[in-house]
Amino acid sequence: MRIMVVDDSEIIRIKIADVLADENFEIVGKANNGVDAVKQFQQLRPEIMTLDITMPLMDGIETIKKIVEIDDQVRILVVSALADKATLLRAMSLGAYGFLCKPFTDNDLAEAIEELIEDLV
Amino acid sequence: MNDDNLKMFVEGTSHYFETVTQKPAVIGAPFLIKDINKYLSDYTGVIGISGNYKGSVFFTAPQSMLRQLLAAIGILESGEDKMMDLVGEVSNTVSGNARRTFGDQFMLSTPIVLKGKSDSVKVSKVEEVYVIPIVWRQHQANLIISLEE
Repeated sequence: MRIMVVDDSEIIRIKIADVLADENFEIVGKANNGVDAVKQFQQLRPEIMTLDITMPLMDGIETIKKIVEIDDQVRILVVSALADKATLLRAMSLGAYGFLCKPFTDNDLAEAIEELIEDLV
Repeated sequence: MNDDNLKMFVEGTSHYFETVTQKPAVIGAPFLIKDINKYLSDYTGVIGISGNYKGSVFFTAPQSMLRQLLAAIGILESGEDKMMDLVGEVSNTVSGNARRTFGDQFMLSTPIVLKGKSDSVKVSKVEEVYVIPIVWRQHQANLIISLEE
C-alpha cells in the first residue's frame, strides 16, 4: 500500500519511512508542512498518510480538513506529541482514522498502521 | 509551577529516552536557577508556550549526546542539521506530552533551535525557571522550564 509521511522533523520522517518500508509499504511522498502535504497528496493520491499536528504554514488539523475534502477514503494516522484528549477527538472527528502519540517505538508504529488498515487487507 | 507539574516533566523526559532508545536516562531533581545561559549546551530546542500558561520549554544537549541519540533512534547521519532537528523534536515531544496534564489550551509553537552557548537568552517576566538535569550514557543535558499561569 502507498503511504505519504508528513512531519516537520526530518528525523521523524526518516524514522517512519524506514519502519514502514520494512513492513513492505511503499513510501510515495514526504512533506514537512501541511501546505506541501496537500499539494503532494493531490498528485500522488496515497492510500495512507501519517500526519503530525504541530507544523509550520499549515498545522495537521487544517491539513486533515483539506485532505478529506479531496479524498474522504484516505486513512490518516495522526502521529503527534500532543497528548490531550481534545486534540485526539478533534482529529478523529475531522476524518483521521487513528492516533499515535510521540514518542513511539517501531512496534507501536507498525501496530498502529496495522489497525488503521485491518479492514482493507 | 507546582511539584506535580515538575514531576510530570520529569516523567515525560524519562519516558522519551526510555521509549526512543530503550536505555533509560537518569533524571535529576528539578532546581531553581537565575541565569538560564549558564545551563545551555551545544544545541537547544525551544518551544514557546501560550494560552493557559506562558513561557518556554528548552531542551539543551551537547553534540556528543545528540550523535549517540541519533544512532540509537536509527539515524546514521549525524550532521548539524540532524542535531538541530533532534533538539527541536525532543523539546516538542516533552512539551506536547504535557498537554495530557495542562489541556488543549497549553499552546505550543513550532520549535526554534539555538546553536552554541549564549549569554543573550532572556526569560524575563517569568519569576521561576527550573532546570531538570538529564544524564544519558554519561552525557549531560538539561530540560529547562520557564512557565507561569
